[in-house]
Amino acid sequence: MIKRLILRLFSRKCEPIVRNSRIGVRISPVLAKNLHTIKTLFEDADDVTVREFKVGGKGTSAAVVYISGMLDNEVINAQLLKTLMLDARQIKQWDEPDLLDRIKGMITIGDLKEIESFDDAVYYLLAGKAVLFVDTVFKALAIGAQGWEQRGVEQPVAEAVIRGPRDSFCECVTTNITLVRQRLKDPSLKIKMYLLGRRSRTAVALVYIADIIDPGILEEAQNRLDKVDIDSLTDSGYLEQLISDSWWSPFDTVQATERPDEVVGGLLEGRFALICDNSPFVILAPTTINTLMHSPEDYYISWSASTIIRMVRFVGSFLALTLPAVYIALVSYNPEMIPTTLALTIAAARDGIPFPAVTEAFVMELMLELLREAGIRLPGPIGQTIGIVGGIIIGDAAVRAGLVSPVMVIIVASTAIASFLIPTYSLTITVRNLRFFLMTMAAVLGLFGVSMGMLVILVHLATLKSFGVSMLSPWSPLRIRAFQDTVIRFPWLAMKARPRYLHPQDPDRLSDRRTDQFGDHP
Amino acid sequence: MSNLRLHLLFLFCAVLLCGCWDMRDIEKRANIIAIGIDFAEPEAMESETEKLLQGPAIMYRMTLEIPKLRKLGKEGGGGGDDGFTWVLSSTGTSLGQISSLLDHRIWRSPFYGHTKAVIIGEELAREGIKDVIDYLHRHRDISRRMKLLISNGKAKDVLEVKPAIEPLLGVYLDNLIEFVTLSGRVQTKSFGEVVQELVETGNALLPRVRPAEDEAVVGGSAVIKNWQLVGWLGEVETAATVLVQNRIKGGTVIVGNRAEATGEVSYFLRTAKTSIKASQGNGQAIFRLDIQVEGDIIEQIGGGSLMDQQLLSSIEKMVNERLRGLVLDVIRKLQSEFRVDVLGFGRALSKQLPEFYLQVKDQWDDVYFPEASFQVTVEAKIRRIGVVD
Repeated sequence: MIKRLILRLFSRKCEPIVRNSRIGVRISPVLAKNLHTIKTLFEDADDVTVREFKVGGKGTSAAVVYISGMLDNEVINAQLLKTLMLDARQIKQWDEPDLLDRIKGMITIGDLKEIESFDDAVYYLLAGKAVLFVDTVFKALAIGAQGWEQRGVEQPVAEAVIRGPRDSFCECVTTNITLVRQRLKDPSLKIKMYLLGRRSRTAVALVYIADIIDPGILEEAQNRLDKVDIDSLTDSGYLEQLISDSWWSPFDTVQATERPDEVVGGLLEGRFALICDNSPFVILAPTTINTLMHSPEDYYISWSASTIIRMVRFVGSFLALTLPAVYIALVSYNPEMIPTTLALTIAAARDGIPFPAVTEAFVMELMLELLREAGIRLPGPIGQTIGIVGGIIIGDAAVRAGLVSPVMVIIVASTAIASFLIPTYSLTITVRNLRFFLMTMAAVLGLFGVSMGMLVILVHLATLKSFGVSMLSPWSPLRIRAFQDTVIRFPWLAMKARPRYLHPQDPDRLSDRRTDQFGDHP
Repeated sequence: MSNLRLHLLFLFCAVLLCGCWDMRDIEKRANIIAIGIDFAEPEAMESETEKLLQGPAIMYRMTLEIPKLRKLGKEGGGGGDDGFTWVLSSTGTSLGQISSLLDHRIWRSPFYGHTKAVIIGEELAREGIKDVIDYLHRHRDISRRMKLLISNGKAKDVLEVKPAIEPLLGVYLDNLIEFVTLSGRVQTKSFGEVVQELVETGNALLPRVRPAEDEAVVGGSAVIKNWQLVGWLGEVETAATVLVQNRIKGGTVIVGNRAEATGEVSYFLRTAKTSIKASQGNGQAIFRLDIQVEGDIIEQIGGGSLMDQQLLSSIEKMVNERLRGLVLDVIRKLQSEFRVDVLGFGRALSKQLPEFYLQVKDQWDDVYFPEASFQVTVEAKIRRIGVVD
């Protein structure tokens, strides 16, 4: 009901927008006509450069059109213009039918495409290629010599690990595909390119391993990509929300990661990835709460250490979700649940505090959110200073002034720390939002409210699906064998199968050959 | 408006209209840690109250221990010699009335969720504790795990003790009873268990407490017969009752003397298991108590080497005799002096010989229990003798 209401409030019926940039003409054999079309189309776009010349210095007229700044000038000058203007003098007959083939034979650039429609020409031009029009020829050549400035492969910022590779995705889709390809030298690794966004024409690569992924999941992904109709995909965050299963859920049903090894791990389990141009975050789906709680590092360190770390992580995120709510409920409604000495200590600490525990908790959480948001905006070194000033000095001063109780500071601080145990940023945000929901429930109904709130979250999660896979898998529906990779992580030798809830075509990762004994050599 | 919306509306109303009704922050509650209940002194009968009464009535004095939060919170324990708690006392014709009258003495609402101990005065206990227990058991806040004690003298005197080792008397008493493992000389039942027993039979053994300078001494027990205090059991007798009740967690038995070959040996009892077998003969109940004890020798004064197996078995025999004597003594005392079954023999009989129990149950305490015969066998084992030869 609420869903419907929101939809009705914020959406209005609109006619499907006609793609206004379509020209729908073929390339004309008359060069002047082509150049005229280009010039009308790109009127007032002064970075579009048109260089007219005669092939071989005196032959047929031709023109190279490109956008300055998106091309490597070195390549254009040396490989294209020089070749066509100087080396082409050997061409004697200018009216032969395979003139374009001759020209192609002379250009020493790998990425070369013949195009016939003007729309393609315009797209390639905007995508950073040079387009060569030749008089008397019905086709044009799109020459790939992109060379704009971009950020290289750097260390991951949001998903740092101690053990594991240090490269992360950057903004260029081809570089990102390469990062995945390097790790999977498998012909079954498929990369299907989509051009999404009416205006942005953003390249989106659908990446999957053809003989592992469940065809149903793949089909669903393709269907959803086909339905994306937006003017611009500025970041993969747009795409994530457009193809997500449930737009109103606080939980993200897809995972965004900046780590290539995480993507490869997902692909091998039978997921697919969407690499979106101009975004260092790659989308991985289907996803479950379970996978959102895993860090790639878990698989690199020993299984026993990893299991303990995961237990800590699960306990920590549970605390991040419930601790302030439980504190409010216990202190304001159900003090008999606290052991007597602890209850008296808390009561003594709270004695003289002017606010009720609920207000205190909300104010402190608000302070924390202020600090967190300020920490993101502030430039690096200042951010740390503000963290110290805010966290320690304000906290300490507030306690000394008797405005908040020291117990509350402990609760809020440990909640803040615990929330960063969650390895996926989107889940961190979700937990933060739900924490406020639970705090409200606790403020209204006490412990009963907290348990009801938890129940609501659990029921919602149980109904939530990501590309047909339940978000609570493998706990619900229960798949005991997939427990090998949940809170516990089995040793690699025991994790033979891929998770069954993803219905992989190739079910096994490890062969049955005995690989468990290396130690008996004399 | 659709049906579903109407339902949702009601649901929200239910939450929002009734929400927060019992919200009260922890420091706004007066946490009552211990309660003492006595009869009020005759002079406490105020004329004003008397007018309200319809005829003669009992007046109670209720003494409460409330921690001073300001004192507890500060570093270094707050100092000052007036202690961490405030003991206040009030009189009234019912306990509920007293509790609500406290309202205008402490602006915080009294909260019994952390009450650890309730002490009933001897005088009141001799008259009957049924009404008091009824009030306590009816109270929604009072935990079933708290401890009920009978004081030797006035309960108010116990409440006024400031234990040297623990700031709060209630916590002190509760922990004393909860964690008593080494001596075994205290009845360790919680309020819930005691109430169950009292409702079933009207009889119970409750721990005894008496005030001393810097401590409240817990030891021995009060014998409750038909909701009334009829007498006391000493500490050693109490240990024997705990042994029979199968609840003992430890205790020391001293046997022999230093002139003998065994020397004077302290036997520390670690675990014990008592099984009661009931049978009948000549219209009388016969109980066979089989007590299996395991323990260590923790001290030997004089005597020979404990590496001698024969010596050990003679020590075991002495321990058997000693424990058997203790158990038989206390049972005889209960049979002849108090004529009350507080150790659950009636329950054992009802489980093992239900038909026979149905015949005797009306006169069990007065006639049949005092005439029942008891056979006690104790089998003690020595598990460790220590390293010194």
